[in-house]
Amino acid sequence: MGEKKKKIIKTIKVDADKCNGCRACEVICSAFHATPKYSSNNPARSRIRVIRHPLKDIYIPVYAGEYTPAECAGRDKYVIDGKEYEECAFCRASCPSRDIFKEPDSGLPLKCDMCESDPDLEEPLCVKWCLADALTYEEREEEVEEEEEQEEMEIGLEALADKFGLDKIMDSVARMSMKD
Amino acid sequence: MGDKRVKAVVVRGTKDINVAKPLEYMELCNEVLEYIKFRNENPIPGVMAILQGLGSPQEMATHDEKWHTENFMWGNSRLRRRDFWNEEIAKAWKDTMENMQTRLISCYNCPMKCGATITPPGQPTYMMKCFSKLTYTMAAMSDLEFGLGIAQSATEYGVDGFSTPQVMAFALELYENGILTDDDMPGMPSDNDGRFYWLLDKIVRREGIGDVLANGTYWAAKEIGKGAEEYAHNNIKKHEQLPLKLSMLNPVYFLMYATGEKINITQIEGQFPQAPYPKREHREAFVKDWFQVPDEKFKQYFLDWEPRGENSNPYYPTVQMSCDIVDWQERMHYIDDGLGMCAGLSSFPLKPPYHMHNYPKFISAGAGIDMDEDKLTQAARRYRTLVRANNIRRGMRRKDEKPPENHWKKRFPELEEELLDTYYKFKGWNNDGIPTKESLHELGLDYVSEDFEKRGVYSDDGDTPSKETSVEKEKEV
Repeated sequence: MGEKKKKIIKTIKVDADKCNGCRACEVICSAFHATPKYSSNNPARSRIRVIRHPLKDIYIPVYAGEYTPAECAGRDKYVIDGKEYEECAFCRASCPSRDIFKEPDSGLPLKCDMCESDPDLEEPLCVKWCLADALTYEEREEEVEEEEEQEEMEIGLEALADKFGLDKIMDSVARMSMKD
Repeated sequence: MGDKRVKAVVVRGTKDINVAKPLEYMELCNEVLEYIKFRNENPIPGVMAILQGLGSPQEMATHDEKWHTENFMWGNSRLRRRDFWNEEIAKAWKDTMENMQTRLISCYNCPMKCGATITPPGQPTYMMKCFSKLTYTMAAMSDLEFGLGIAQSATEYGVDGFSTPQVMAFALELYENGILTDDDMPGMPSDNDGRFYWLLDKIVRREGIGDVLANGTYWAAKEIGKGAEEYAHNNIKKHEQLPLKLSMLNPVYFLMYATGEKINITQIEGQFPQAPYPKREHREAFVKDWFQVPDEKFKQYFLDWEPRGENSNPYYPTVQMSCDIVDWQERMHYIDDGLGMCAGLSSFPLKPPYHMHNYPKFISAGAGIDMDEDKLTQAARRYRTLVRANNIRRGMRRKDEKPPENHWKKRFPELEEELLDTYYKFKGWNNDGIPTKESLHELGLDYVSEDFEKRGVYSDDGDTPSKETSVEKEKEV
C-alpha cells in the first residue's frame, strides 16, 4: 500500500437547465487554445461543445474527455423530464462515431485541460464567459493512494502482456536475445 | 430581398476567424464583458423596464406590459387603451407566457438572452423575441394566448410579426367599413381570432384578397381603391410603421421618422433617452457615467431638456441639437450594420458596452485596420450616403420624408420645415434630400454624382426645393 496523498480535483459543474445555447464557451475555448493565444477562434477546435436541439429544449455543454479508438458496441438513450437525449449526448469521448473533439486539421483528439496555464487562471475561461451561470468551477480535495508512476517501457510491456500473455512475451524476449 | 423573393441568406462558416492583435483584442473583450455584467446588475432608473438593460428589448423575460399595451395603438393602429392593464390581465398573461415559454435563449456568442422558445399547446415549438410578443395580440385586439399561438403559424410560414398583423387589422377595418365585402372574403369565419388565422393563410398562399394584402398596406390600399388609402394611415415611404400615435411633436423623433432609411424607428433610435427626466438631479445622475457620448455636448443637451416649459418639446432640443442627436443615433446603427453587430449591445440601448470610443479599437485590434473615431465616422457617413443615393436613384425625394399625419396630435409645420432644411444641410444633402456633388466628392463618391447627373437627378428635382413636406401643404392637396 502506498502513502495517502492529497490531490486537488478540478470540476466544472454543468447546470444544463441554465444553458441558453450561446456557445460563448466554445468560442473562448478555441481562442485560448489557439497559437498564438487568442489569435483565432473556431468552435470546431473547442474542447467544450454544446449539444443542442433548441426545438426539443436540449442544451448540454459537454467537455472533451479521453480519446477512444473504437466506438461503443451498443448505445443508450436517456429520457429525462420527458426529453429524449441522443445516444452520445453526455459522452465526453473523442470517438470515431462523431466529429466533435477532434482537431479539424489533423484529426487528432482534443481534451479539456481546464485552461492550464502559467500563471494559473482563476477559473477555466468557459466558466468565466458563461454569463448564464450554467458552468461553475469547483475544486475539492481528495485523499488518494500515492502510486509509483510506471515508466513508459513498463506501460508498453504491460499492454503486450495483457494481449499475448506473459509467457509468450518472455519467449519472444528470449528468442530475440539468442539472435543477438 | 423581398424583390428577389429571397427570405434570408444563411452563411455557415467552418473556418477559423483570425484576430490581428490577439492580446489587445482580448483585453477589449474583457472590458466589455465586465461592463455587461455591471450593466446587468445596474439597470438604468427612470426609464421603462425594456430600456433599463441591454440587449434587444427583453420582452421574453418581462411580464409587465402596461407600457406597451397602454401606449401603443391597438387594431389598425387606431385605439389607445389607457386603462387596459390590470391585475387580472397581468396574471393571465404571465401565466400564458410561463406555460408556453420553455427557455430564454441567446444568439451565437452573445451573453444576452433576448429570445425564447415558445410552445403553444398542441403546436410545434418556435423561437420568438422582442415586440413580436404583442403585435398579433394588439392588432387583433385579442389576448396573449392568441398572439403567441398565431405567431407560431406566422413563424412557420415565414412571415414577419410586424407588417403582417398590421395588414390583417387594416383588412378587417376595410371590411367593417364596407370597402371590402363578403365577395372579397369568401369563407372568412365570423369570430375575430378565426378571421386573423384565415387572413394569415390567404396572405401566405397569396389567394384572393391575400394576394393583394401580401404587398403591405400602402400598395394594397392602392389596388383596393374605393377610399382604402385613408385606412393605410400609418406608412412612411410606403412602409408600415410602429403603431404609435402621440401628442406633442418630438423634434428628434420627427427627424428620425422622416429621414430614416432603414424604415423602422427602432433601426435609427437609441443611445439618447426618448424623453426628458422630470428632475434635474436625476438627469445629473444619468450623465455622470455616460461615457458613451461622442462629444460632451450631448450631456448638456440632456441636462437642459425639461418635460415642460421653454426647454421642452417641440422647440427643445433645438433644431441644431436635434440634428446632432439624430446623427449620433443613426451613425451607431450604420456602424453596427457595417460590422455585423447586433443593435442590442450597441446602437439601440442606453449606455451600451460597444460605442463610438471602443469600436475603432476593436476594429484595429480585430481586423488590423488602422481605425480611429474620425475615420469610422467618415466610413459610416459614406455607407449611410450610399443607402440614400440608392433610394434617390429609385425616386425618393423630400416629399416622401414625412411621418404619418396623425403620428402626433400637435404638429408644427414651420418647425418641421426648419428641421428638415437644417438636417439636410448638416448631412450634405440639397434641399430635396439629395446628396450634393460636394458632399459626395468628400466621401470619395464622385461616381455617384456622375450617375445622378446622367440620370438627370439633380436637374429634375435637384436644387429646386420641393416643399411638399409640411402637414399644412398636404391638407391643401
